[in-house]
Amino acid sequence: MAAAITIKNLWKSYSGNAVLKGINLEVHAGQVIGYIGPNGAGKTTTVKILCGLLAGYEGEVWIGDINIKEQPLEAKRKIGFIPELAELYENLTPHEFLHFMAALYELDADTAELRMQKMLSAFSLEANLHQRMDTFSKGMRQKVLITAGLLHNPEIIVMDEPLSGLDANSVIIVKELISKLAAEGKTIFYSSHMMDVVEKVSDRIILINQGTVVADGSFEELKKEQGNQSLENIFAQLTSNNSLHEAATDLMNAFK
Amino acid sequence: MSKLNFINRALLSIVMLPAALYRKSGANTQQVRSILLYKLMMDDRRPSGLQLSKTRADKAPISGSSFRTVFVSAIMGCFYVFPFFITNDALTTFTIYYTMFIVMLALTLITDFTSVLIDVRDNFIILPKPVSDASFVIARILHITAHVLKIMLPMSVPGLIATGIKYGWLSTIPFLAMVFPAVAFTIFLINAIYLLVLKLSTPEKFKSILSYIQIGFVILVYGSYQILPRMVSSVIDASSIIGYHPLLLVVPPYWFAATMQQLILTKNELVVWIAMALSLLMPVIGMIAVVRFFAPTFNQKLSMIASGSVADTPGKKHNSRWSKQSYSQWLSTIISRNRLERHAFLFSWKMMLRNRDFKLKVYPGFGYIIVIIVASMLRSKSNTNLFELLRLDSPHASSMAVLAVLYLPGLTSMGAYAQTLYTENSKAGWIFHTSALQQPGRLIAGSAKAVLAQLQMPMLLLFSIVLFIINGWVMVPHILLAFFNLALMLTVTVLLGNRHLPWTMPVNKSNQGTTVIKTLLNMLLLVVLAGVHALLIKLPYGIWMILPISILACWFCFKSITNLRWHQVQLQEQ
Repeated sequence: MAAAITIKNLWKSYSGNAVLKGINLEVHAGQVIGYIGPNGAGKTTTVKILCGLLAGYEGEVWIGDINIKEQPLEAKRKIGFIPELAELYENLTPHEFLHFMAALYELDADTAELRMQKMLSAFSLEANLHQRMDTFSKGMRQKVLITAGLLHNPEIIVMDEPLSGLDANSVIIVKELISKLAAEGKTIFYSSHMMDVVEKVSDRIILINQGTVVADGSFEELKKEQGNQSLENIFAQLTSNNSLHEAATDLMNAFK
Repeated sequence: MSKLNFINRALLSIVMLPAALYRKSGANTQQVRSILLYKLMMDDRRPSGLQLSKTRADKAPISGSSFRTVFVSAIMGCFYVFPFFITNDALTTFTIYYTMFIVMLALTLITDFTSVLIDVRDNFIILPKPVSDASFVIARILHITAHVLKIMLPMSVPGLIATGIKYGWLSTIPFLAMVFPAVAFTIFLINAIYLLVLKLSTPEKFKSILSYIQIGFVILVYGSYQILPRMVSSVIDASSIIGYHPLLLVVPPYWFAATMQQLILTKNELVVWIAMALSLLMPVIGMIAVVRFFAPTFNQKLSMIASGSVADTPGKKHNSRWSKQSYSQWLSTIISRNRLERHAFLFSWKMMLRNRDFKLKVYPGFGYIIVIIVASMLRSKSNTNLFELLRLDSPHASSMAVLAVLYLPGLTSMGAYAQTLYTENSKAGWIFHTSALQQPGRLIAGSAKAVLAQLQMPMLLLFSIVLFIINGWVMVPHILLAFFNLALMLTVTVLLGNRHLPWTMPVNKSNQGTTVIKTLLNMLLLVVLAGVHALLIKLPYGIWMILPISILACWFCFKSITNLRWHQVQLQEQ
């Protein structure tokens, strides 16, 4: 059986600057991948290519046995994308927005109605179903976006910082949700800065820096390789050239 | 799915008529329909493009924008029919008509292209979904088409009726037929303008250019309704005709007018035949150019504008930042010796220059003043010219015209000051509240001085030069008194009820009701001050006597503002 996601020698550059420099990955169904890296490492670029938002790359990206470049629509049908910024049409109500999204996935309206009712109640948003989203908080919008990403029951879920703006209780719900989805055989590609969450939800962590994979393995494996320390410290060790303590000292020196 | 009103439902049905054609080009018509449906629904809830500001006073959700758009477009259309009343020559009538039609439609649509029609959020919301490029592009084109139809159809109805009445109902058929090439040509025109401006500037700057176009548009609309009918009727009389000069061929509206004339009453003039050919050919050539050459880069560039991506523009280097004093820094050292007040002055100075919302609300006001002055000059039917009217010792005019020119800018800067209190970014005001300021009033005083220096002074200076040229030295005390009276007026309104810190109030808090009352009070104050000025003109040395009092009062009010303490400042909860 083909891997759920296969990335072969992926290169991408913006006006001459290479952002991704030969990424190779194979992700199996049911895996939760924590995709981490410092700002500008190429996380969002990878996510955008995976969701078919970016073209003009070199290398191959496969969703199951579908090549994204050749059959973008078939690939997109299998993926649910939950973007980072609360990007949605705030003039619409969640009910309208989610029906719109369902129509784009060609999901029939009755199924969509049933699913959105259940999912939004789980997020305690059922009372806001017919309220325009321009009054929503960031967390409420994020909940609608999560619902929109899952509505068509995709095999692969790509999340880019999905917990931003969510309160502690909702974070618990989403974390639980991720493990339940994985148990059902869904593949989760989780791109984030939040080390503690990545550490807890992922069963495989991929650390990228300056466009290349610098570490790949379960948290336990990474700990074994890098000395028994927290993910935060492993991250710092692998991605920072200068000592971070020095930077703090330099900051303090400004007063002298 | 029946939430669309009948206007949008009708538009949706119209643009979806050739569904089979879309299917043939590889689009999924169900998806196209869904995208259009929700796009139209969202348009209906957005403030209409014909409204200047995106913000509104009350938080009530907007709906029925389509009705407003249709209504306003029809009203605008009514103004284009005036040439039907002033001249009997068909060619002249239609040339004026199409000029107004094309210019107004272009100005209306030019801002809509970035604010309504190209939505960057589509990149995150629609593109990750299994929607083919063909479906996406067709949906976008149809959305633009529906939007254009919504404006152009009601806009051409008054012209249609006028044509029918004047040239017989049969002539409405060619009129209807000519609307479409004229609109196609307008869209080509907009594309060309966009592309040209993008070539000459960066996407980031383009946004500012757009808002200046918007400001210009508002002033133009206001000005043309005030001035144009009067001017045109005095220049053109019923017998004047535009004629058949070959140079007229460079004026696009002339082409469409020529075709209209030929279809109603044929005249055998070569120029007209060429113009007619151009009117049919140019829109087609233009549309091909749009589809072939413009469209591919157009969408991409527009989304760059909308997202304001500045990735490729390296930040300016400010090496000489501290060594070289800017004009505003130099001014700040003049207006106050207090450091906090100077910085408040510079802060407001820069905010006023950089805040797009502020400019959209305030700048048209200055345009209105010029329009009002010009219009009232035209209104006075006597043979007095501008020069005569603004002479203090002129037998024809009273001193009121002179005083109006001097004092009117005050009303606008008063409004501008009220706007310096509001910002989209009001939460950033925490910085004032957490700092250990002893005299928060200094912030208000500095900001008020910035308004006077940046907006009121240049306007007053401009008018003063005109008045000085006309009247000579005798004008000087009047200018000085007006300047201090207007400054006094600003400080009084600050003390009486605008004691807010600058740029700290959320925009939607601006309460329309109290704004109206405040404007009325401002006007009353203005009338009182200008009235005192007017009474003293008659007295020998009257102006020189009142001037020190005005200066003293002004100084005292500024002093009171700087001395405001925290409990006297009206605070906005953060």
